[in-house]
Amino acid sequence: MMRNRPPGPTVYQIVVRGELSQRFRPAFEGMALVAGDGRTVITGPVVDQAHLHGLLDRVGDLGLELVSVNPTTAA
Amino acid sequence: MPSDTISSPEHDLVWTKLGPPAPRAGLIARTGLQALLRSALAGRLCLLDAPAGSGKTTLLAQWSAAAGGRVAWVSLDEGDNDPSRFWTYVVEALATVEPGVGAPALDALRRPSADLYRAVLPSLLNDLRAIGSPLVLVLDDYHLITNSACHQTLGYYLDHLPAGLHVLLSTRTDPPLPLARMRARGELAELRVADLQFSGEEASALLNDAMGLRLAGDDVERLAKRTEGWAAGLYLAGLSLRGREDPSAFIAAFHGDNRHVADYLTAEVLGGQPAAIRAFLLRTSVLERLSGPLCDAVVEAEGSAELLRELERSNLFLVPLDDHRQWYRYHQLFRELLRLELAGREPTLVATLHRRAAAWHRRAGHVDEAISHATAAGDFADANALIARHWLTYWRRGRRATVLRWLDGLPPEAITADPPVAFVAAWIGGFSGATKQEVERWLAAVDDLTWEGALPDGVASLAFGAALARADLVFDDVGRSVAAAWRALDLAGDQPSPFFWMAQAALGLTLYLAGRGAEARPRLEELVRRVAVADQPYAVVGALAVLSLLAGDAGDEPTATALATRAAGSAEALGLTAEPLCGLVQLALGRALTRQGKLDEAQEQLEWAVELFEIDSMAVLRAHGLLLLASARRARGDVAGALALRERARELTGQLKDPGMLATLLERDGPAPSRRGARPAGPLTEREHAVLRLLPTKLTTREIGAELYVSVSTVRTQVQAIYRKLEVSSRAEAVDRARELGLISPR
Repeated sequence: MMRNRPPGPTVYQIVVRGELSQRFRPAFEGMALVAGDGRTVITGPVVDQAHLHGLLDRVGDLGLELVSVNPTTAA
Repeated sequence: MPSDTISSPEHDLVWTKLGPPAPRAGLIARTGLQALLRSALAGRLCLLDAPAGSGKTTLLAQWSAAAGGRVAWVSLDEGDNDPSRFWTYVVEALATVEPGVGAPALDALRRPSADLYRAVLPSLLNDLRAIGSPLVLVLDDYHLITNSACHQTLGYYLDHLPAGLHVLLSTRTDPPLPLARMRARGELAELRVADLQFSGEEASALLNDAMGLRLAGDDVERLAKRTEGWAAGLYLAGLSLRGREDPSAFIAAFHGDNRHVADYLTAEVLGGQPAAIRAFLLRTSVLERLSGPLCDAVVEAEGSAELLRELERSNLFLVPLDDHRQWYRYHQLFRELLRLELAGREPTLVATLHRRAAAWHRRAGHVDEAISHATAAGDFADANALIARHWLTYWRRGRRATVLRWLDGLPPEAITADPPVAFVAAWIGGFSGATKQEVERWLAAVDDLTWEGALPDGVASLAFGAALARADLVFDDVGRSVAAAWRALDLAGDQPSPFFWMAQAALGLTLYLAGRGAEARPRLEELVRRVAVADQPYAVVGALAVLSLLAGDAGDEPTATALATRAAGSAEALGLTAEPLCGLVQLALGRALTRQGKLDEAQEQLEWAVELFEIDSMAVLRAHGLLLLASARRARGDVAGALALRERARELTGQLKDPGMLATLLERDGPAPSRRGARPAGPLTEREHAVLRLLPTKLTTREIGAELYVSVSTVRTQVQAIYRKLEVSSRAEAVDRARELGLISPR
């Protein structure tokens, strides 16, 4: 499981529906927000599963619709 | 009255949480949905499961008003992730509908470490059984509950709920309850996001009738389509449209825009407010609940009470929490959006606002909220000071999870930098299942730093606290604990001090565990003779239990029984029966009962003790409990069961650095098990197979019970039968052996 993963964060891409303005940046600290085509791609380093779940909780708190979640570096 | 000297955890009960938010203007009655909700309440559980801003709470409040008083309501928040606080709210809510219901359960909850499964829930359910008419318990915002003990106890409550009683959960995520099972049995009804979406007609009623906008049919349709019937979106759209001269143009622009609905509309709504209102909204968004005086303190201006009433009148997402309009909260989604706006516009102000809120709550005696805001402000020293001063009161009342939550909010450096709080972290952690390493990390911080004089909670000195923690939290090393107890006694001060007796009790216990009962006995006898149980409950109860075990070892059964009964009576009276340290009482009682041949009762007590000892710091006592349980099994002729238990004890003892007297006990207790054959020693029943299939999972015994719809003790019995038939002594071995025999699928 997690135990064998080399240390260091994994870069994740979280895609939500709707184009978010930069106003949402403080909600996803340390992540880049790129909006276009009716969706927003939130990209940045995620240190562990707890961090990832925290980000997904923020998505829920803000009433955003989750489209996909993907690691972009080798897991 | 505000005062600086507080408090009992009861202060933290916020009574406005025990009722639906007061009705507000500008909303529509969704009668179709209310009817759907009523029919959904045929089963025992109804789930209202939809994203933020879907209108869940509003719907429930309207339905509740129409339901006419048979609704018990709790608005949950993150602070309720403490089973004893969670159930206190639930019982208080039920009592608002049925006065007096659950009074004994509440009494039990007020005592330290109330035992939910044995004391609180059975008593509450018993009271509820006597109620003739239907009653619905609403738990609003259940997604904020993450504590697994809360989920498990709610599952137990649902399983045992008398006919005519129902539970309604509103949540953003599916709760970890046995939903599939309940769905299959027709006990679960669900209203999900599609059910909550506004139809075109409802949108028109909201925008045109309730908000008075007079929009054309096309425009309403476009808004409904663009927002996908999302309640918050439609409502924000309505607010943005107020006072616009050309709504159609606005709607057309909005319709053709790809921006997120709430993002787009919040900017519009805020932009339309006067600067003073906008500033007030943003700056008070740091607050979970708002009152005039609190807001005055946070924005450093007067007149907040009027402003709040004004905001309520203009329907700006402010939810009144009581009929007197003293407390309000923002609609959650709106508050999140405001906080983002605040963080973007005035990032440096956020900590200051939290700091002011912390100060106000501290003066008002709201310890919990004061600590949360101080932590959010980054004022860790202030949070630490509050924790150091109040943790003991919370801990003594069984609110260990609350203290854990405070500590979890602090960065580890803030804890290690503050010796009294590092001590609290070690103590609370050690009794909550922390590993030895974790506890030692905190205690190392206590050792390293100097601190003059007594601690804010009254503990004699830091060095004493650290020594006492190392004595009572034995982990894997009895010898080390004996040494720590001697040191604690050394540092405890003069004989009459309470700390002297705490140290004496720890020394008596650890000497007993080291097999030095003769040295332990006179100390404990003196303690029991000289100290009133009311003054030193843990010390006296523990001493009585150890003396009982010692009398048993000496063959004096009448004395052993008398002491154990006395210990159990005191523990019961003080409500200490669920505290890990007091598992000693069940241990002594179970041993005595075994000797009397009362084997059912003995087994129950000993299983209970082993359960209480299932934390790292209590491993020695857990092995001790397993051995006593093995004797009880052997006494009833269950040789294989006894063997399996002794093997578990042996395995556990093998992992200990210094197991003390366990080594002797194991030796005295007989030979190792024989070799096993190529097939099970007996055929497994259907139910045992069902349990066996769940053993490779991470489910606890309780969760397996929930999954299979049987009680914990049934699962335990079946697990023991599986061990016996597979001739193994642990869960891991059972899984390996079952795979070997082809009883379950390979990994």
